[in-house]
Amino acid sequence: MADVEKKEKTKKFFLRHIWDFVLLVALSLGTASVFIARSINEQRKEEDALVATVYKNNQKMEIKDEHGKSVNPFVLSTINDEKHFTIEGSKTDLVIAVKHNSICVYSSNCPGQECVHEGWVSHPNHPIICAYNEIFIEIISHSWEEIIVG
Amino acid sequence: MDTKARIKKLTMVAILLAMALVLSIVESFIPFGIPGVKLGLANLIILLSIYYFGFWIPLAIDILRVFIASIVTGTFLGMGFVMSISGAIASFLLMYVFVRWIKCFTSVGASIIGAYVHALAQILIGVLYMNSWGIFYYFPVMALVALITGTVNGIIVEVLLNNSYLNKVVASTKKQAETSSN
Amino acid sequence: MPFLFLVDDFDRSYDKNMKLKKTLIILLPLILSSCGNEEVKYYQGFDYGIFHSFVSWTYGAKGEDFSNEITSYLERLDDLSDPYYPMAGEANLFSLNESSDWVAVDPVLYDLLKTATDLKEKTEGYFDPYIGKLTKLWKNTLFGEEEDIFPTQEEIDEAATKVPELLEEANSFSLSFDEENKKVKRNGTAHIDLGGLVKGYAVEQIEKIMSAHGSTIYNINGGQSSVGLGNTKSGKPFTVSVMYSKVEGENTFKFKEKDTSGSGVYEQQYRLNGKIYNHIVNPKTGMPLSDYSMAFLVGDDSSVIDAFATACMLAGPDKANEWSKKYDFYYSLYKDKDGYTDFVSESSELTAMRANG
Repeated sequence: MADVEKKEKTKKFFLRHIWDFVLLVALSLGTASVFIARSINEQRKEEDALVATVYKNNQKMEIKDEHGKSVNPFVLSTINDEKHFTIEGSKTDLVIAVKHNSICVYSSNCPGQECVHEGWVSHPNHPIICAYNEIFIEIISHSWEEIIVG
Repeated sequence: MDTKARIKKLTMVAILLAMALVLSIVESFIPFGIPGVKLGLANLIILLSIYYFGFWIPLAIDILRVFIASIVTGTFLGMGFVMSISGAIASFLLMYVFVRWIKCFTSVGASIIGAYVHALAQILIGVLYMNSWGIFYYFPVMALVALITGTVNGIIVEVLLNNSYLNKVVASTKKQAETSSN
Repeated sequence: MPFLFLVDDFDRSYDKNMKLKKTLIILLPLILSSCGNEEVKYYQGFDYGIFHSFVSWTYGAKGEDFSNEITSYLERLDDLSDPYYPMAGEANLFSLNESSDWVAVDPVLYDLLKTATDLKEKTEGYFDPYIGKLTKLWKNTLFGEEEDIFPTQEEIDEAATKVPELLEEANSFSLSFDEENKKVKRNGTAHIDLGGLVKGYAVEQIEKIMSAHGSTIYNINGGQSSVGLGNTKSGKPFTVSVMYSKVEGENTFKFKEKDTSGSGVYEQQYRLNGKIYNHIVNPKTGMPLSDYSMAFLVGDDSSVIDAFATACMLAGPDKANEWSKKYDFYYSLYKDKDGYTDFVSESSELTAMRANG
């Protein structure tokens, strides 16, 4: 008798929550499809160029190296040695490091430090953000089979 | 109006606000890729308040807790604040709709949608701030966490709603007010 | 795997062996194909500041990355062809422009000068490496030291008064070559400027380096105006878009294993009193004015088409058509029409290469 009661109870429990379950599944599937789409987007062939652009307050930053060459956007796929650049954010300074196919915020004086905790990023569409300093690092992949001449 | 009922109501609301505030501040210490992204643990309290107190009081609790939490953590009027406020309002509205109008969902469903919309609203504000869809990168993880916390919170709320002691306490803040106004 | 063929047809063992046989037959070609092939790795290189622009390359190779070889070559070519600064310890274009005697130059510079002189003849003077002084005059007049300062009609008229003299100087100039000793001599006072050829020349030389290393899959970008294309990884053609021109939508072509060169004046130009002044000086008139605004060429020698791109843009469709048949390249010519690019004419072979849609 107790068994049947238990079964009835569990059945009732599930019936009551059926719509909640449907909602959960629907949202999970929705999010999963976004996740899968993103993974496909992140696919990068080794011969495609990986380019990182540093924006400050939605404008491309002017970053120069020791020779006075402008290095932003960084063509990460052509960098061999690790290099560090100190840049001025909106509120504090930050140090950006680049190496072959990777970029990271090496250090920052912002309070949250989320940007530093991200570490080295090597995938396209994976941004690094320092909201405190209004710094946004965007990484994209350029197919080498598409060329612009002019 | 019975003063005792009013005092009880005020006390209850204050306690709920305090609990929501504590949860808000605690969750601000959990880091994410972007600053200002919150897990939505306080939604538990807000949802409970919706069941107990209707529309304006829970909304007030929600907005107040965001304000006070942001002042305490020092992110007032920053990007994190705007994200929290929009997340709070959006999730509140949806939870209210799910509790009062769409009757097929229980507190679990309401909590799930509240947490999910909270995450979604924050991401959209982030996109607006940074002027780039790149922020969306963080959405799948946020949504997954939101779904989990939403489910857990919903179950907790359901358990609390069935707690006879709590129900008596809440009822007492309303009942006496009704009888005394006669 | 010879034992495959020695399997007997016993009833009991038949099924087992058939399975094994099938598996091995499927695996066999895979095993064999992976034995002979070395893996192709892809490398990328980028040199910024070369020829006041950049050169970048992506290529597939079975061995190590030889981008350093390309970079060293480019840095050297850049120093040798620099008309503004001398090189320490050896002659370059700058020091050559200052001397009137026989000068011994690096074989690389010698070859470049020879190519430039040869191309002046082929383009009937529409590409002229001896208008260095005219180029400098108009560069200073139009694009002076400060950006965003527009030239006035008076400044242009003043510069125009200097043109006849400089034009005469350039037209009476010639270069003498001593093949054996790699020496050159200036006959005249005009200055040599190789800016309109050096990117194409560099791309052509890099393609030779690729060949020498056995790399057939590559893409070399010389400042976005000269591009050398080898094969692609998939074998499908490259998609090449011509910037700042929308002809029936996007101006896009599909091809591979060809060189291309784009000569256009949309980037630096001023409109004044109905005329459009740009950064390319017409060697026939000495003025920085051109009837046509862009030429896009596809051919087999990057240095040749770099010179001809300038020439076709200045000379017009009839000459472009004649040259394209004589020197075996394809062209696409455009005219500026109130700020929009208007299509003029192109080789039929190039029309066939257009990407549909």
